[in-house]
Amino acid sequence: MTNVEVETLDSVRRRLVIEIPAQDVTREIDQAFSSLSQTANVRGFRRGRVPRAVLERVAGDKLRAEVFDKLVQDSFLDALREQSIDPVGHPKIETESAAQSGQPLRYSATVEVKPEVEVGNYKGIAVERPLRPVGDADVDGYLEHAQQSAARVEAIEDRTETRDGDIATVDYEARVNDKIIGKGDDRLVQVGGDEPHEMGAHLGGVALGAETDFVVTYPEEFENPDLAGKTVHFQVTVKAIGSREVPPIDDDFAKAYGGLDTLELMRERVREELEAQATRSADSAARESIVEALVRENEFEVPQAMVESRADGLVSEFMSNLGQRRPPASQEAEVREQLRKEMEPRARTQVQANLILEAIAKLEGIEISDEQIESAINQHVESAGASGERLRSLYAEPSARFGLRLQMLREATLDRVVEKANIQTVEPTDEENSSVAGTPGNG
Amino acid sequence: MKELFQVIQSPLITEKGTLLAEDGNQVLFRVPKGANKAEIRSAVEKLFDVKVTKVRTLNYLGKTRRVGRVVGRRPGWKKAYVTLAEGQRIDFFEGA
Repeated sequence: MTNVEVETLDSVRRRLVIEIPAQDVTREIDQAFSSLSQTANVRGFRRGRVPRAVLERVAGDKLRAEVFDKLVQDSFLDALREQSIDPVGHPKIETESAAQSGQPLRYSATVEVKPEVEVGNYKGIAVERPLRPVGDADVDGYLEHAQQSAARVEAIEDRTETRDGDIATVDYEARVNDKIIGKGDDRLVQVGGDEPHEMGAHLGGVALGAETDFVVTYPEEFENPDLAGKTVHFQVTVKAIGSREVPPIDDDFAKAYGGLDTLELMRERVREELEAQATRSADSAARESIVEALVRENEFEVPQAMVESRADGLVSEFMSNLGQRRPPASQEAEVREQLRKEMEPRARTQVQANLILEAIAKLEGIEISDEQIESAINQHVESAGASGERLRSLYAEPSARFGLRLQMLREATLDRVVEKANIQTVEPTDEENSSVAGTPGNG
Repeated sequence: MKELFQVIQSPLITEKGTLLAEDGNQVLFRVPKGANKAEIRSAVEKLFDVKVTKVRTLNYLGKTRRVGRVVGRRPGWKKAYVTLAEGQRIDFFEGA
């Protein structure tokens, strides 16, 4: 019988010293040799007729290493089950000798385990919920923003010369030393402005249909490196002039852009939307504060393996969100390594929070049923649209389901903690929190 | 007198050789074509510190090999069956 001793190194590390009896080792080695002799191709022997002594010489060390791996793997998993240890990450295996016939095999495995989290007080956590009141100014700001994005260019017909503020439709060519470096047809340019590097600044007072040319010298530190330090000769033809017309905010505006009958209704709808937004962000801020408080109040050691795997997850998430701005493949490993270091504190906090929430779930007896998981998957699949079926097949994997269950369990637990928390709604004092559509709130 | 390793080129480790070693206490060597039984006997006795009772040899003809139209032959070689005195042993897998 395999002998297992467990040492507790610290709150997150256990050392298992495992001894496999000699007869098991011998049996395993014999088996390995006999199965190898059936397949080994050795010069001078027909297959299956190679004597053990020859095999020993040809492949003995390799075979013993394989037997060692197999014995360790089997006995390690058994030992974990027997001792009900749930490890995270990979074990560190140490041994003094290889597997030898007739000798017991002794090795030690150091594993990290999830710590026993003793959650202190999680009921009645006092946090502030920074709810920003929505005022008329916010609604106005939102509508003005919508108004600006609804602006159109109306042709000017009673004038044949451009004026500051007009929108000119132009064809242009840009040359450096008679070489064309840029060209465009029917571009819209706002006339006027003080910025000499903008085309518009040179187009004031140009007659409709006339061609004008001007020279722009870009400074050395210009942001576009193709143009920096160059003298560019522009040739521009103004084909049409127009003005930027914004629709007035009235009932018609409400009809056209909000699908509502009156402006009053639209204002109401906008206010509701902004209020809902403010509520959502206040709620999520409160939840975050609660998680922060939990982590702050419950200090414990976290297995490094969990932190690292979480940090890896964060980095991967970050990288996939980069999309086009992903670093080139040659630098990716380096960037990942650096990001990992930067994200480690955050990963540690998240792991801590997750462990705390799981511990609370146990205390509160919160469980996620299979039906709940099924309906969550259905929801995901529906919202994914075309790629939904692929998503469903992903969730067929037990590990994906397990992950989802854990995530739902944490959410549900956090809901419970939030219910029991002592949440005080306050008005935010922070400037950053107090603007929605570019207008300061009245809080 | 030839150098010992000029006489004994290598042991022959084959299925037949291992059988003979078990049953008849014979060992097989690959030897140069020019080596005679006396040389083989004394080389084995010196190299492995054993008593040899009998040496039998046989010549192998090299296999024919054809490269296009040209037919050639691989070099031939000589095999020696060396019978050891009772109780003597040569172990090519020492330590195993």
